Amino acid sequence: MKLLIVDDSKVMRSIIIRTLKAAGYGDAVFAEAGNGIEALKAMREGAIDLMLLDWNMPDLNGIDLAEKMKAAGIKLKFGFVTTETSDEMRKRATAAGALFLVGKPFTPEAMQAAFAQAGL
Amino acid sequence: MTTITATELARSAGTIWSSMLNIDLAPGAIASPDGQMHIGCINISGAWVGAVEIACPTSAAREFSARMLQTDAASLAEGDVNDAFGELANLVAGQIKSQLPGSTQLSVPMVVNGQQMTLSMGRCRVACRTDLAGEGHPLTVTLYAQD
Repeated sequence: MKLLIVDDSKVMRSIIIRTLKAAGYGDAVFAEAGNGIEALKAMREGAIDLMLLDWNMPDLNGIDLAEKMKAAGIKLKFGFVTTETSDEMRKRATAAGALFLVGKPFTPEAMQAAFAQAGL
Repeated sequence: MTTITATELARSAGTIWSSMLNIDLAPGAIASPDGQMHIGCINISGAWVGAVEIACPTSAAREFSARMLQTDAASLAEGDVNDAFGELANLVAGQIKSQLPGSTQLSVPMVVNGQQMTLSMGRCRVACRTDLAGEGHPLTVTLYAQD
């Protein structure tokens, strides 16, 4: 399984990966991107099974990337890992095709529940 | 007008320090602004306008960052400390945001470090502030609000 972690913070990417390993996904291949533009490049470079997206990022943020992907008909499983957890944000994420939204701070159990929602 | 109090500000920071750093925060003394300081800030826009600021001595920011990354403080590059401290500000702001009225958005983090610093928040005033300490390291959390 190849996972793409998209967050402008290198520290947060490492914490997400550490948490995913603790959640039982240590065998996954982890790719990283620092914003939406880098994520698009990573998508072109290899098959991604699931993308975890931050919401607030410079250049191309997570929700704008998700909405562009939907408009372009790009089929890729993704969910948000973000501090943006209001009902309004959840509705917008779902409308853009997100399979889950995990709030920061998160636990391995929250990641397991999210992956189950994504059918992984 | 926000109804967030200093107690709720402390609770928000405590939630993050406990869950991400495994550090319990308690009421503490005001950090001396004379030495090298780190300040992390997140702006809030939308139905409620303001900012969340966390500030502490750079030595404390380094220790907090090391705990977040589960590594030794001495091994961290300055960029890693800035990155981690910005994320801590972001996480605290996320907790505060959930208590604010209406639809709001958070900015990406801004982190500065230096001596004898204060941030000017434009038309914002200090809404509430709390001085905390975790494992002997001081931390001040401030909520700014625009009238």
